[in-house]
Amino acid sequence: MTPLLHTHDFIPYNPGKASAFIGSWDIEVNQSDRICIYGDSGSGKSLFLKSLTLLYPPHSGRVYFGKQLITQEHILWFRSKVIYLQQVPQFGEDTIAEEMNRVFRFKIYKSHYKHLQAQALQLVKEVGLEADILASKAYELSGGQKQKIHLVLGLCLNPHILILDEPTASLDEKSTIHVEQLLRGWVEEVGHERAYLWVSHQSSQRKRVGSRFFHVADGSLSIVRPEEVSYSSASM
Amino acid sequence: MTSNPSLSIAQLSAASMFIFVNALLSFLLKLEIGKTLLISAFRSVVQLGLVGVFLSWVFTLNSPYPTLMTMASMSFIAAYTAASSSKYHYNGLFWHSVVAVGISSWLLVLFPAQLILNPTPWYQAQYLIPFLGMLLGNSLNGISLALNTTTQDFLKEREKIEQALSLGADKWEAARSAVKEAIKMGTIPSTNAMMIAGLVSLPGMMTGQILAGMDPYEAAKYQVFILFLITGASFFGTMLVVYFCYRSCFNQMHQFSTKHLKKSQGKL
Repeated sequence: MTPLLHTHDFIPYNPGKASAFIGSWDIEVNQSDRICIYGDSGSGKSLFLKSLTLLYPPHSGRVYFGKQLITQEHILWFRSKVIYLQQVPQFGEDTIAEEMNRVFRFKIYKSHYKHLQAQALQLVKEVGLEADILASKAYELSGGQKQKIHLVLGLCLNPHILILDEPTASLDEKSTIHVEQLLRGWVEEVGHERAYLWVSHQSSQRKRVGSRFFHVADGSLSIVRPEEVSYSSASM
Repeated sequence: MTSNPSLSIAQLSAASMFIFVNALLSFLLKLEIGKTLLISAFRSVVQLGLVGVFLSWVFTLNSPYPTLMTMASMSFIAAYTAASSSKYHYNGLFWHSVVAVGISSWLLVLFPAQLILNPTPWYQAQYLIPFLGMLLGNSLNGISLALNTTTQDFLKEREKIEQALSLGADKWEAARSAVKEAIKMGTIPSTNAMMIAGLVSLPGMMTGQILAGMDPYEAAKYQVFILFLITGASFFGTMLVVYFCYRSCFNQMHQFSTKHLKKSQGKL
């Protein structure tokens, strides 16, 4: 079976020392994968993920979505199928509904604008928020609420792969568990080819969110077998 | 129009008394601005004197090449000033500024001015040079404001732009709000100038023409004409330079980078 996403000779973008990323960074993401990525702060996780979605130009290598090599022609389509959600979402001064609508008006989504709006409303409730949050401004929301809204945005765009950079960092324990279950359900939903990559600094979270594990350290990425993942070591 | 009243050197010297009195006051009160005042007054005499002599010469020659050469050097100086006033620099900024300042001002000097004022011969220096000067000055203002806003906004909004791209925006959709803001900033001075024209003070050109004996109504018509051209030039110039700056920060893969923006080291 063709993986959902894979790379070839891939080295992430590195603005500092070009030689810092030395080892192998090639990965495969298959249908229903729940990949947990961990590693120290500054080890290159974000650079890797932003290079993987081609937000940054990789130092070398190619990215394939299915069998398709991603080039200039497919880049926007690719980014709508593999969505990277950054850890601290950025919102402007408009209401949350307006902020979301701005995304739904992007050329690539515009044709199903109405559908996306309905979808968003539905998902707002599913992540445990009240519908009237859509009428508030971003600065009125807590960090956790903003993260949930960002997740709603990512989910309703209906990607195949979600790349989540510490999506529960600002959430309380109850919401964290709820979001973990929601996303697991999303990946495993029958009839869809889906997967996520989840960056987690919390060692206790790893075994809950991961079915496969990537460890980023010393300038490379290694694939760790589940039984070798340390769940107990102090976070960070 | 009545005959142009000519100022004598004696009259000018009398006017300089005000500068000297103020400089003296500043020295007595130890305000420490007397020296700057004298230097700047002196510079204005030398610079304007030289420009006056030079332009008289170009006007009497009244042939295309000296006129066009003068206009070209004015444009380069304006472009240089606009580029060097920017807080952030990148390779190629100067040429972007040359194109933005140049195209916007020359377009409006050569077309509307030619079509409407119809000077004979077409290269009449007496029309072209002062017109271009006015357009350049305003266009350069708009351009340097816009340039500063674009580069700073791109740096400040970097995460927001990256987020938009990561959600599937194309480069234009991701940059739009910063671009919009920058164009607005660059064009505020010229729209403001039209908004308050004549209410707070008479525009410089109109004042000059009235002092030189022109009927105020005629002078007003000239001023409106100039305001339209000035606004046109600064809109064009601003949009061009913002577009160039936008182009330099995004590539064909819809990737955003501000790595090439370097903080300016003092004055250029």
